[in-house]
Amino acid sequence: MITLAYTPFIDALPLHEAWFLLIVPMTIFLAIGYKAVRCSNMKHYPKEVVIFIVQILGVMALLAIGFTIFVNVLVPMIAPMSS
Amino acid sequence: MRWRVLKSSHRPSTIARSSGPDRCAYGITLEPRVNTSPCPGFVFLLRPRRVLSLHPVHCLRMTTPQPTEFNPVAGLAALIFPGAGHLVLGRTKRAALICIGVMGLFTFGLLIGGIDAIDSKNDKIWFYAQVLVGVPTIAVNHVHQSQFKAADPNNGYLRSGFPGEHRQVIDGQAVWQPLTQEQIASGMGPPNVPGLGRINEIAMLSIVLAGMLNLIVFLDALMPSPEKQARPKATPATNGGDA
Repeated sequence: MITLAYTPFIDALPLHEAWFLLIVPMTIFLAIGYKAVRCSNMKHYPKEVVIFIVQILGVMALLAIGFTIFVNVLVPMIAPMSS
Repeated sequence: MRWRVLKSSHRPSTIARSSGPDRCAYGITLEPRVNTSPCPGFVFLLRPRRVLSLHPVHCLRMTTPQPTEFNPVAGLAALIFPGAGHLVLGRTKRAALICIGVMGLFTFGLLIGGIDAIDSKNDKIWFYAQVLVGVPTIAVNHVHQSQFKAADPNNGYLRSGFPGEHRQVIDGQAVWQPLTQEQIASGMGPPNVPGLGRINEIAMLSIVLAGMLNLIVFLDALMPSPEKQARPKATPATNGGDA
């Protein structure tokens, strides 16, 4: 009998409330893999991985702040909606 | 005996410029040398290279030739499994890190989105990028299509199960059958719960990123870039001699 209990790697995780946090592990794995190819000197590998992670997360955070301001402040100023 | 002069600048093309042909060879690193320039990167612009000793006693370490030529075997290995290409090239550490990166993204996508994150039938465009991971994607997709999908009883279309259905094999063909209320209450259902909305998108995106990353890995394995060694520390020389 097949039940509805959660099975890892088979069922989807119910993370709809915290979806934006999933970018962190993705960024870490991406930086580990990308810098393993592009880092010319493996002595500097850990430092370059950390810098790459901070760059991605920082730019994403800035984009999020920018779009939040655009949607919540600028768009209501440009096209005010009657309540 | 042939020598390779110790590399101490950011300009690899000038490594053996000041050495005679009988003293320059690939594979032997000569130490020590003294760089008196205030800026190490411009040492060749300021003064001719100076090697203080060429005696064999100063040959401190042997280096293996770097695989930098076109290598289709390594490229094929990289397409089969992430990191295998660099393993063929003899770059074990890079291979392990690549495997951690690519398979980490792949496993993370499967963990949050379930097996439904890889679907060559319903998410065909995504699958074209996901398949760049290699054998893992093909294996998971095969299991998904053969073990978790079944035919719709109305039109025969192969699909994932809905809540209130269970997968039943009739005459060798898997078909979705509706469940009774008692069966639903007892916990029966389809073999997997597909991801919906953002979770499904992020899961598929994670595996697509793994595939795109493995494409970069494949290109690097196919046409390897030269490995830059860590710069050894210069030791003061005791016996002189200019090259």
